Amino acid sequence: MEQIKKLLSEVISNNDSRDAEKILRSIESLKQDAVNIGDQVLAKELWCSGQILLIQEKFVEAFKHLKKMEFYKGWCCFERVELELHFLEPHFNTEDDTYMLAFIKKHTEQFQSLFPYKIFMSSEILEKAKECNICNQRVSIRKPCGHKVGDIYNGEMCIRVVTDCEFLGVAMVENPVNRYSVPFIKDPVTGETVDQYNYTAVSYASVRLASPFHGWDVEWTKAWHPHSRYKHIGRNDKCPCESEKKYKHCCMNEVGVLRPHCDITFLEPLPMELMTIEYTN
Amino acid sequence: MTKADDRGFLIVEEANETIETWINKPFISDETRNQLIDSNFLIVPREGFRDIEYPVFPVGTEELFGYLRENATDALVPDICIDEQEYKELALHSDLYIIGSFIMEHLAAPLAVSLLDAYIKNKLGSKEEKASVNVEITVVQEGNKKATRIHYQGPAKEFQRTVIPLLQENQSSEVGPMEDGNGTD
Repeated sequence: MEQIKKLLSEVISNNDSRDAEKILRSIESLKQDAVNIGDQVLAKELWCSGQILLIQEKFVEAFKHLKKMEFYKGWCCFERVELELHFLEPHFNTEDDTYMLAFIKKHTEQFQSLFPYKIFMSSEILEKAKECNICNQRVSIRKPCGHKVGDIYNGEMCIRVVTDCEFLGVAMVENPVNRYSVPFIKDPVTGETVDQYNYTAVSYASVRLASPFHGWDVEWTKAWHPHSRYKHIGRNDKCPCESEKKYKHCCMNEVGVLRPHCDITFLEPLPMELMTIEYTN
Repeated sequence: MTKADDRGFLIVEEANETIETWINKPFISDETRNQLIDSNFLIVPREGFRDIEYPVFPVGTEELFGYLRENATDALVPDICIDEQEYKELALHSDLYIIGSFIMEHLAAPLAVSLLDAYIKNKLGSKEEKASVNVEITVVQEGNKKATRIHYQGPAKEFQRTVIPLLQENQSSEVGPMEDGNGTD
């Protein structure tokens, strides 16, 4: 157990070299031993360790995807990090940075804020019957099985498994529960999925980070974009600042076009060639 | 009275139903009705959602009911207005937390709202800071003389402090905006 904790606490230095599968097997083995002797406290502690490992691995995996410009895959990993942190939170102090959990939480949110996804597809489902995954008993509203969702029993988190449901439809929402449900368009000719999103902001950050554990901060503000970027906008067109006014009555008379601006501060020094401002639509 | 801003809305209006209205619904069996008679705080389903013919509860109601039963005091007797075999949950999967609809006697209301607030905090954890909730409560005055429905949708962290003052006011009085100066009719 102590060796596992040590490996988890050294994630900054060992995240590329450690054998996560082997660590997980150790955790599962020790957890089963604990369950066999009825040690629920140890089993829960090992569950927490498994969660921490998963969170760390998914965060590193997300970063690697961004480095390879596999942005949607990175997004899905960040969602997994967010979910697993939420499951862990009632059972472990996630503000303690021994295992970089507070860092991971903060930077996951920051990375997510840089993504261009604004609309998501949210499923609507009528859940007619569920089972408890701990005792496999059908969920009864008046005769509960005693296992509470989110609590840890025998080293496993209690959830409800939907065994009978009806799919009602899909809604387009801005704030979904399932962040993976990003709509992509299809090429009408080839039928292939096209990634139509602009990843300039998230790419800007990931290019300049040498490690997932190099810290950075982000502040969303506004900045003046040079008019030269908007030569294609006519005087009577709507102003690119999205004020709904005509360009000639709005930013055309200012030093530039006032647009959303993302100010990123990297805690590790950057080489001069990377200290740039980038513009995007 | 309706107040709304970009963070949500607050509706306070007269209601016609009482606890008896709900326990006498056609989808409640005699056996369940006998059990519900002693309750002063009912979780009630949503009827007529789209073309669904049966009453449904928001996803997570099972957990909520368990929490209420475990943490209720002698002054609060929670129950759920449905037969066991008819219980179904509706998962809409937006990150708006639909806590549910409730009907309660006015003396139980402050305690019930506080308990609902505690559940929200417990369930959301650190997400409470940014989360929005939707809660509908109907408060029945003594002797079933009148009822007031309060429908809140807004920041989770402001639910209790928005709703508790409304419980202490006459339903016909003007109430303040969701946030000072930002409400609109």
